[in-house]
Amino acid sequence: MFKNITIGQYIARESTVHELDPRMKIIITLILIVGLFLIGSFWGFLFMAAYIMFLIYFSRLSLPLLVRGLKPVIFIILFTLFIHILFTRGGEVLLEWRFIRVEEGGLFTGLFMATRIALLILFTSLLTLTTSPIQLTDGLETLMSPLKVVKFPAHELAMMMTIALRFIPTLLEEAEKILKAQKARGADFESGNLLRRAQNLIPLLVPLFLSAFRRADDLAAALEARCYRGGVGRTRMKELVLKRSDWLALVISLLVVVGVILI
Amino acid sequence: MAFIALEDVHYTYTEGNEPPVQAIHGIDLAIEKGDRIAIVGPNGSGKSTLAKLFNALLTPVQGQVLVDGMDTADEEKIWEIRQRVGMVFQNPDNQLVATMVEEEVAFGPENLGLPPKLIRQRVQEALEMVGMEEYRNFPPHHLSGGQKQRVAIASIIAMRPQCIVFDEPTAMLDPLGRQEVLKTIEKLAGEGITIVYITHFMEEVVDTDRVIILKAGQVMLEGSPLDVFQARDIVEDADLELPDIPCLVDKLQKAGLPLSTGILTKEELVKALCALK
Amino acid sequence: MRIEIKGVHFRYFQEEEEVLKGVNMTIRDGEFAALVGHTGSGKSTLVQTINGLLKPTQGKVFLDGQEIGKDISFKEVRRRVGLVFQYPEHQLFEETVFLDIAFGPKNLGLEGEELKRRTRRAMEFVDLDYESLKDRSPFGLSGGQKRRVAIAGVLAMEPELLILDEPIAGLDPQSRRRLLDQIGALNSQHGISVLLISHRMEEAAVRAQRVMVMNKGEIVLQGTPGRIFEGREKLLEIGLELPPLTDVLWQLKEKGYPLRTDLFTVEEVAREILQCWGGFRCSKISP
Repeated sequence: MFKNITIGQYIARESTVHELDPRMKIIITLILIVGLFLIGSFWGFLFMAAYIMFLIYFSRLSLPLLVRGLKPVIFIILFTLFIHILFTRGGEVLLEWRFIRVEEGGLFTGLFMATRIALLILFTSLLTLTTSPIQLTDGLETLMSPLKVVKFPAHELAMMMTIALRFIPTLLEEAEKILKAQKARGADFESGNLLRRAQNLIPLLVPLFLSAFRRADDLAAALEARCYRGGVGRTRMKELVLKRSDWLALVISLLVVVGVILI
Repeated sequence: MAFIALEDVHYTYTEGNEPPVQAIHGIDLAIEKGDRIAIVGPNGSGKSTLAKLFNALLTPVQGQVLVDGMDTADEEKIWEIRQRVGMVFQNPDNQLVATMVEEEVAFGPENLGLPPKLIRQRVQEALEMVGMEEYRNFPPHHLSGGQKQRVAIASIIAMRPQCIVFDEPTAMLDPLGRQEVLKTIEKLAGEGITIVYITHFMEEVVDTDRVIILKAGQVMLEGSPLDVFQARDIVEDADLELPDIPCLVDKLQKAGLPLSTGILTKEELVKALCALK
Repeated sequence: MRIEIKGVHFRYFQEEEEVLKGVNMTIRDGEFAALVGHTGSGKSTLVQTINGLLKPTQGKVFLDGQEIGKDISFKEVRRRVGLVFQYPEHQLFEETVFLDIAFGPKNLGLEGEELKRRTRRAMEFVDLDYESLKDRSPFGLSGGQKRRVAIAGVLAMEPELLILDEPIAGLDPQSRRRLLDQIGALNSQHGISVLLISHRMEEAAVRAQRVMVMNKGEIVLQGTPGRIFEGREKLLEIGLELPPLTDVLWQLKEKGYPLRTDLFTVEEVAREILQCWGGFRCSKISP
């Protein structure tokens, strides 16, 4: 049951998109997301969709793979769509049946909002799929490092994220194992009311937390044994260097965003 | 002076309101450069505590641990000591931090503040040493237990330690993984790295120079593998078991076969038996 | 209780390789069997299909002739087949030893005296003193004791078949021996069928009446321990080790001495070697 979760999934490929600097990729993703919220026309969305197809092509990832990433949010997308179709008013009346009334404005807003969410998910999954978690955290750390002046723990946050990403698969596996072991002792995780179910989770949660603490203890010792003492004085094997392709990607994306807003 | 020297070391765990637990009870020990020693003892004998005293993860409550002349209680020297004495732990999952093999191996050298180019070179060498270079872009959770342990070893080698302490590195592995790890350690010993190997499998101490049997925080016996295998009473008193081969040799000798007592491995036994014919 | 596994296939994901590729296997009533194979051979997956935690993608599992999931419910199967996972002490969660062991029977709807009786009996099985330990926190016990509490938690369900996945991993030699003896006694004195999963031939498999060797989702060898060791080449090919003493016999046999190779205890192996060497009676057969 836990194996379908693909948080922070990264797929290694040798592609132009993979090789971009993570900082630039984060910035571009942010710009594109801002762009998404400023688009107001059908053509703007179409153009943006075309742009993501273009990016996916250059990332050498398959489209179905990215579309699969939409599955978990499909409910939210459809919900948004229908809420707008049914309740947002404006323009011509397209359909009227008993208490249901669909107006042109609602249909368009619904479609716009749904497309917006779908594209948003696609852009962010493109970022995580083409950027290894460690690069992502590296990128975030450097982007946030100016904040260190105001005592913002940029390195610590990035380290926490790395460790979380590293241990998510391990803990999910562990959770699955504990779940099965308790089921083998007749535990019931599926029936009963909400309160009952929450109580039934105790045999899963207590061992899971204990295991997490045990691992944290071990990991702390392993980190210390390898001379880890925070971000001070630490160097990186992979230094981030902005290349010409990074700037090019930025310029193209900026142009696209300006373009889709103006259309 | 010995590379690692313990003088009358005591260690006690104190946790909250619970009564303190004395884990190490006055141990004296000298480990020379290039030594290959094994520390054996049942669970709760203090072996893991002892291991952590070697690289200042713990510091003695009484007595002194000196590494290359540096006192582990000296806060200033901690990082130098840890760079010199690396450590590989039992659980392969809990000692890997990074989400990619290459990053994992780079982690130590990065902490040492080495320049990127040198780190790259060291990562390459370390991965080659343990035979994991093809896996450099793999996430650790896709590796087998033996492979994870080899990555853990590589990540220590990349820090260029003079000594590596192995805390039951094979306890959670299957026979294949165990062989992988033992072979890797063999190779490191060949490179002149000092090896401290902690285990409760007596058959794994056969290849070491010196064996230390620990029980209840004290050294029960210190000697060559042969000495240890002959001290049957002490071994059994320490809740350990002699490996099968020395037991068999003992039995055959008692039945009158003129075998020498120095036989510890299968191969040696087969050779000796053939020579009798 | 008799378990029959017929043509069982299993895969976790459609696109992935099968973990089980058509396994046929029987566990007889009252027997002590061992399932040996290295990590990833499919042994853990296989036993989960036996106690109804996983449903085979193809094939059937029968419990006393009744098909699991059809003639007999998964819940019922889980009660009758006890499964002890690897490092079972990591699943302890209750405040006291008693409560943790009683968790299983409680889920079966038992209470009061019966619950007490079962807990006490399960603790006796694994040599834990009921009076002195029942109110202690399981987390304050030693590693070996924790493991036994966890096993008692499964035994309290009073299964007819007990499956243990690497029950001795991580324990020190004495605790390993003690636990294996207790498991042996469960089988020989109380008639509980045992299936022991292991990757160390010399510790576990030698105690079993029958050993099944698994590799890449298939059973590749089965028979008495002695018979299994006859298949040395196959075992080495899949990366399993022979017990060291058996290996000595093999190596001598390869040098041309006519020795049996289906022995594994110090006494037996010594006797076999002495028969040949003691009186210098046997001579080398030229290969």
